[in-house]
Amino acid sequence: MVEFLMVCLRRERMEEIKVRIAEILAKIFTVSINVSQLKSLLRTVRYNYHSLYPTFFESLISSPFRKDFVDDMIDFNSYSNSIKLVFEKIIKSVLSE
Amino acid sequence: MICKEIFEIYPLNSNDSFQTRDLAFWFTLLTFCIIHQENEILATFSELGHHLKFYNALTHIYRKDRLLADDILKILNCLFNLASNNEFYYLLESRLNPESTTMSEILENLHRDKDTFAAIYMNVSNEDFIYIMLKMLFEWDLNPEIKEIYLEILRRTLEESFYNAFICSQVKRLLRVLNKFFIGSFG
Repeated sequence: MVEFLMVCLRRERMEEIKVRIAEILAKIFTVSINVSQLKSLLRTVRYNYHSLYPTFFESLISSPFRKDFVDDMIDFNSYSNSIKLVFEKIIKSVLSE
Repeated sequence: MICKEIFEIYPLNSNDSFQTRDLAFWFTLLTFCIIHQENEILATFSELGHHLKFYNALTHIYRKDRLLADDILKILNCLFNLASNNEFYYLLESRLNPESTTMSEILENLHRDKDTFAAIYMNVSNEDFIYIMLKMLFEWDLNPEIKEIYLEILRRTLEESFYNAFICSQVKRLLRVLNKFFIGSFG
């Protein structure tokens, strides 16, 4: 679920919804963060996640919707906002706990 | 057996199987009734990956016959009830009354603390249905208001409960690999 939420964070364009997703992820990571979750976090912050990790991407997103996801994920503004949220909100709140 | 009847024998890929919007809701409600009555089925349901078959069936209906916002709200409420073992209904759904209010009113109510305070007492008992709900919200790219309503409820549910956050953080990759191996070998 964590990796799927991270992909959704990358895909989402509306700022309010991005913030909500980041808050949910921060709560989940605060309670339990393990190696596989950390790895999934690091995988999903890569700009071309879909081409670097195609098996993970295909296991998360159903085939009819993959193209829309990729189109939105490679949008640079959306990507930079997502990275900002990951480092400013998620990682900061996890470390502050 | 009931799971097998519904999700394996029923011709989900046939073009004539699902044609009406109502069927999506009745399909969800039937699943809800079966699982709510027989909790033992829940383990089989998740372990054999039936929750994804269930989602694929809903996606099939959605792509064939675009569902209306009301239908989607009903399905999402049903999924939240399945995920929380019906606590969602008693703590939130009955107070918010989504059938008689508009989505902007629901959002306004959600931002008032007194109406949604109870959400922190909801126990998420089955995260697979939360996963289906998230897949519906983001893969179908639903109305931003619907996304905001359910993400806000989920955020509040996780906010004060370590248990809920822990349940949602479970990684079941090993279990899925094992299932794939055993089902591939013997089934």
